[in-house]
Amino acid sequence: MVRPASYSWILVVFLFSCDQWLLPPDPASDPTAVFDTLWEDVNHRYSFFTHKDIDWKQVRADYRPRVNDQMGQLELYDLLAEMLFELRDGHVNLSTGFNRSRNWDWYRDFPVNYDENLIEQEYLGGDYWISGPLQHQVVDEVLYVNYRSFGQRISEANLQVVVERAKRSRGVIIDVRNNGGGNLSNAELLASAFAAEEIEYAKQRIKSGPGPDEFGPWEPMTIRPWEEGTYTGRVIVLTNRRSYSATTFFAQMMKALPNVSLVGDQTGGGGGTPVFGELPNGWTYRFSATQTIDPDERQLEDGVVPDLRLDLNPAAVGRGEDNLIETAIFLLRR
Amino acid sequence: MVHLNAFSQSSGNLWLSTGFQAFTSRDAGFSSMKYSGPRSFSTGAFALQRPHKTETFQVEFGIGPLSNQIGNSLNALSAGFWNSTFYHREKDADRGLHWGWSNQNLLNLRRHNGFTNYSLRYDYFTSIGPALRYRYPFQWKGQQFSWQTLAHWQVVGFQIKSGFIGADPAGVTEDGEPLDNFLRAVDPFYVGRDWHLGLESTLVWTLPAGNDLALRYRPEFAFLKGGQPIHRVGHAVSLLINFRIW
Repeated sequence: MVRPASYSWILVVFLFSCDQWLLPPDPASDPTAVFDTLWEDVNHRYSFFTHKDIDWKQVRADYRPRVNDQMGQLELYDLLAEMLFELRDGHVNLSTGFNRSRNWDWYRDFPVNYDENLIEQEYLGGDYWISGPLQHQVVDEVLYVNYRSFGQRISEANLQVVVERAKRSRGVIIDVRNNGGGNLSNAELLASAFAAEEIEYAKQRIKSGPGPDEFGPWEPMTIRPWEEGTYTGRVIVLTNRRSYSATTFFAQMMKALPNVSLVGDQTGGGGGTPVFGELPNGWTYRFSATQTIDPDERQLEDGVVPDLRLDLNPAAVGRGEDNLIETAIFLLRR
Repeated sequence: MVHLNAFSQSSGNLWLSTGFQAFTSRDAGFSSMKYSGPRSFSTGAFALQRPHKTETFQVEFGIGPLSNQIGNSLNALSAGFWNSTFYHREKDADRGLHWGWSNQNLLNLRRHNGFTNYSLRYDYFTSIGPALRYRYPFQWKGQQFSWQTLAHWQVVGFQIKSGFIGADPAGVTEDGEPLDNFLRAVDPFYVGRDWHLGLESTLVWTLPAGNDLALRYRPEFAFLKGGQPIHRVGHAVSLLINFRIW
C-alpha cells in the first residue's frame, strides 16, 4: 500500500515541476520586452510591408534605441504608437487603459463631402422610414437610403422593406459616406439585394508565414443574389474618404455589379482584415493580416475609385442642396 | 469450443469518470502568453480484458474558460478518442508490467473572447505510439484495492492545425474539393518535432459486488510545432466508477 502511494506523490511533484520546463514562462513585461514582442508580431503577421514599401527592420533600428526599462507607461505608449503609425494603416491600433493609438490620415487631408444636417433637413425630412439601421426616403421618385455604420445589423425584414420600396421607384441611391465600416456580413447582405447573378468582386489572401510575402492562395470573394428577391434596377452608391473598411468592401461589391455606379470620392481603404494581439503588460493591438484586390488587381487598401469623381460643392450646400445626391437623382431619372 | 473458452475467460468493464483538469495552453497564433484555468473533464471507456491482452476504448471531453495573466480569456474545448492494447500472454493481467501500444485522436478548439476577428483556432492529431502499464493489487483493512499507472507516448501520425492567422489550415480554400483541402491541410506528426505524452495513475477500490470506485490523476503534455506552435499541459483529477458488464 505504502510503496505505490509514495511513488505516486513523487510522480505528481515531478510532473508539476515539469510544467515550467515544458511550458516556458510568459515574456517579461518590461518596456524592452514589450517593444520586442510588438515589433516581432507585426514583422511576422502584417500584410502590407511590400505593397507600402515599408522597411520594418529599419523602423526597428530607428525606434529600438529609444526604449529603456526606466521609461514610464505613457512614454512607452507614445513610442509604440509612433512606431505603429509608420504602417500608414487605419486598421492599426494600440489599445491601453488610457488611450488608443490610431492613424486617421486616410481621410484627414481630404474633403469631407458630407453634411449630415443638410441630408436630414432637405432629403430625409421628418417622415423618413427607419428600417433597422437603414434610413430611407423617396426623393423625386428615387429611393434614397442612408446607412451610417456597417456595425449595425441589417435584418432580412429591414432589407425586404427597402427592396419593395426600390421596386416602386425609378432608382436607388445608397449613401455610405462617413460610414466607417463594421461587419462584412452586413455589407454582403445589402449588396446581395442588388445582384442579378453571382459575381466575383475581389480576391483575398491571408498571411501564411512569417516572411513579408508569405501568403496563402488568392481566394475569390463573391456576391450571390439575395434569395428573398432582388432589385436589379439602377443604383448609385455615394462614397467619400470616410467610407472605410467594410464600407470599402461594400463599395467594391457594388462597383462590380453592372447596374451600379459609384459617385463621390474614393473610399478610405481598409482592405486588410485586422488580426488581434496582446502584449505582456496588458495592452492589446491589431493590424492588417490580409490583402484584397479588385478584378484589376488594385489593392482595396488604397480605396475604391468612384465611376464619377465629385466633391460636395459649397455653393450647392449654400442653396440647400447636396450636389452628389442631386447628381445621382439626375442620372437615375435620365 | 476454444472460442467459448476464450470468451468465458474475458471480462468487459465500463468505466465512467468525471472531474476537473488544471489546464494550461499557449497557442502562438493567439498570443505569446499562457492561458490557464480549471475546467471540467470527463471520460467514458470500455475495457475488454482477454487472457492474453487488454484493450481499452475511451472517449474524453474537457471544456472550460481559461485566462492569462492580464485577464484576457478564451474558452477551450477538447474532445478525443483514445484506445490502447496491453499484452500479458505469459503474465498475470492484474499484476506487473505490461507493454503495448496506444492510439490518440484529439481535437482541441479554442475561441478567444477578446478578439473580434480570427477568434477561433483549433488543432487535431491522430497518432500511435508505445504504452506501458503497471498494475499492483493489494489489500488494506480487508478491502481489495489495486494501483495502476499507465504511460503512453505518441510517436507518429498526422495533424491538422489552424493556419498562421485564421481558423482554416494553410492552403484550404472554400471552393476546393474536400479531398484536396484535406491533403493540403494535413501535416505529419512525428516525435522529436511534435510531442504528446500522457500518464494515468489510478487507485481502484473493488466493491464486494465486483464493481469498482477509483480516483485518478492524469497529467498530459503536448507540443505541436509547425506554423504557430502550440503548447499544452493538463493535470486532471477524476472520480471513476466501473460497471462490470460480464
